[in-house]
Amino acid sequence: MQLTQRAKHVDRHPMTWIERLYFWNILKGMLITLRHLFKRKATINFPEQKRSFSSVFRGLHVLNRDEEGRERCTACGLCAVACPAEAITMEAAERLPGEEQLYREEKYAAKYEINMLRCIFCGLCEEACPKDAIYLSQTFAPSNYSRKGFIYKKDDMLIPNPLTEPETYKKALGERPAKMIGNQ
Amino acid sequence: MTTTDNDIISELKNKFGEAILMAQPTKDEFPTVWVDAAHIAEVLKYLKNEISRPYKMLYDLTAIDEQAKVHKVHQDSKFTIVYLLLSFDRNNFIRIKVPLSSDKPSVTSITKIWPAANWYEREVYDMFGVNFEGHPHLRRILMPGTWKGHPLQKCHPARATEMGPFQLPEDKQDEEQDMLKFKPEEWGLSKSNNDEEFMFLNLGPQHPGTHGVLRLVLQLDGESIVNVVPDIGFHHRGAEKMGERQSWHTYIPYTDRVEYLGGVMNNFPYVMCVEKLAGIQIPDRAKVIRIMLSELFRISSHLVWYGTFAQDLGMMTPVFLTFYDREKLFGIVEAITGDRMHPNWFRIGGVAQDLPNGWEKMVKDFLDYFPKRLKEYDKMVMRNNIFKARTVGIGVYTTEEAIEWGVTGAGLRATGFEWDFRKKQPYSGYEQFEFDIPTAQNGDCYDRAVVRVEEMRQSLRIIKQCLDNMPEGPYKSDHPATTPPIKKYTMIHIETLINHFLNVTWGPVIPAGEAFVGVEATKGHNGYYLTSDGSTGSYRTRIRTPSFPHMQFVPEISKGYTIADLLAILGSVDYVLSDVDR
Repeated sequence: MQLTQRAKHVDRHPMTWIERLYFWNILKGMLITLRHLFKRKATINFPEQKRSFSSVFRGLHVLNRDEEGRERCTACGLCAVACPAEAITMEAAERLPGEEQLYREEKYAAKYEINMLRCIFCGLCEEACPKDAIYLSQTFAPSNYSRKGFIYKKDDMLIPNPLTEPETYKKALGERPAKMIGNQ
Repeated sequence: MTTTDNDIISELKNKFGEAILMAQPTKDEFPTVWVDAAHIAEVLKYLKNEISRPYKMLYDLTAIDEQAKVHKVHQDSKFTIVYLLLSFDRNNFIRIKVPLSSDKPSVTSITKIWPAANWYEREVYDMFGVNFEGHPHLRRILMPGTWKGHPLQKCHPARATEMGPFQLPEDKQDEEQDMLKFKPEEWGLSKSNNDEEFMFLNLGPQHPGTHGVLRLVLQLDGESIVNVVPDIGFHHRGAEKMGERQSWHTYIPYTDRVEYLGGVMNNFPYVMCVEKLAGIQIPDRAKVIRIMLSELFRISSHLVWYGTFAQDLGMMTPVFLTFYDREKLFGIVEAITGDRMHPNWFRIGGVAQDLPNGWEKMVKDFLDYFPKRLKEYDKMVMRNNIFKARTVGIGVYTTEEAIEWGVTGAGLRATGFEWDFRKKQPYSGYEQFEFDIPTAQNGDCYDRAVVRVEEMRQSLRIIKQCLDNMPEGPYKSDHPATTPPIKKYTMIHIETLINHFLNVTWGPVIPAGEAFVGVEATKGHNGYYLTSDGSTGSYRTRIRTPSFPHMQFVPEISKGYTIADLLAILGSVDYVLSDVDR
């Protein structure tokens, strides 16, 4: 049946029985597969093995502290405004006398939440932050059993204090300095 | 406006007199003419058939709801229909606008002039409620048939939370159920011809061969296809509507997701369009970085196509190998941009960051590694008899047909027509690069594959030149509309900090105007047509994607073949459903 009148007439002579077996083609395909059996494996055994991320990878958010262990965030709200997915909510509070060791500025974020189900990990919050208080780290958000578990609170994201826990702080920082240079 | 543009406008004025309402200057410098609705069919017919060096391709057809606009060009227009035509002889576009001032807007259908207008007009009807008189099959195309209202009208809510809680009472459930019933007549299909009854078969929405959520209703006579009707819209996310809610800057991540295999290739036309509206000049380094990343993504997208196409035809191995190579590319992309598939890396006025230390080595390693793999794939796929038997002479179309239906990209070049926007209308400095435009002759599935494979080699050439000649200098412009502004002094100077605050909270204010910018994307020509009303967000974002007309063209090239051939055709067209539906 010729409906279209435009099919190009190609050589469609009936194949001989040897050709019909496609023996050579199948053999060739098998040979390629066989050769790749002995090549280096392309996969890794996740989760026992983890792949490395690039130093600018945009993964889970980290709320940063300064070198004295004070929270850098001043709750200006730029990250929330810049967020295309509207995933960030925060509440600001005033720093009281005696809390200078905790917060760097006179205003700080009393509540800071990111809904990781909304977040698209675009990194616009990091670019918006004028205080270097939030950045995206070299890990991704782990799975969870409930929707609530994906709403990350301030404590879930705050980096360990460099004065009290220097080891974990260093680990959480990752290759951050390299990233900061790239940003400026 | 150049003199040739004035020529065409005065030619139209002489020919049609009063029907030509006015000419409008635009930022993209395309000749733009407002035409009276009563005469639109004759004007378009004249432009397509009678004028010397005709405008053969209906490149885009869309509408704008003008009712909330401040800077109106035509004062009485409530809805404006915009036709964008492309002339290959002139190497230029022309934009025709039709003002509709009635509350129940209606205009003559141009499906008799361009069959490709069919889907575009259905889309405008769906999104704006504009009626097209004489359209053969005017019904919703992207939204579900039970949808109330027309989403791109300004009065339609943009978010689900503005529409109240979702409810499904029984009568509505019945209505929805009723909508799901398959009645061939509603699809423009007949149940039988004189001799026999046809069989109807659903291919998709969940079928590996459709590469996404696409439903094809097949009308079959035995195993041969009498007709195919694509049912699209499953992947529709309202990207154009979102463009009206987001600021200029925060819309960039959304463009990533329009054609999700293309990555930065989607940012590209968008940021260039905003830059054209704002008049931003881009530093050389940013230009070359953009080209390099785009070409990396072109290879990455073609690799996905290569593997899945071979898999559609029954070859299991290539898809694993090509995905492995793609993973290598993603390694480079991740090191540079910080993400893999949605890099969100181009910015208004440049790129987000400078290239990281050691990028040269990564790119160079890939350049050394990849040609060998391409050779291996050639042996495995392109020279394979089974592959050839399945693709040669299947899904053939000519250059004329391709142009008639709005086909661009590799599908057009496979018919032997040498047309690449990177060469013909160079953007972002492509004119300084040395590369060839691969073409083939027959326009069948095999030729489309040959063209894409060769395109990967050409992309490697371009990347090599980027690597060897990467200019020094800033990666972002210092124009005030650059977003976000260079952060170097933000944490030191209060003045810069104020500027930073304004630019991040409001985003840049782009002067009123409109522009279209397109790029030669992975699937074809992809363009953004942005209208600014002088504010912090777009008034109308129109995304002209290549896959939409390509999908419309599929039934035309698959009639008379078998279902197995249809899968080869679908694979060779290389579409992405998010690109079709937006």
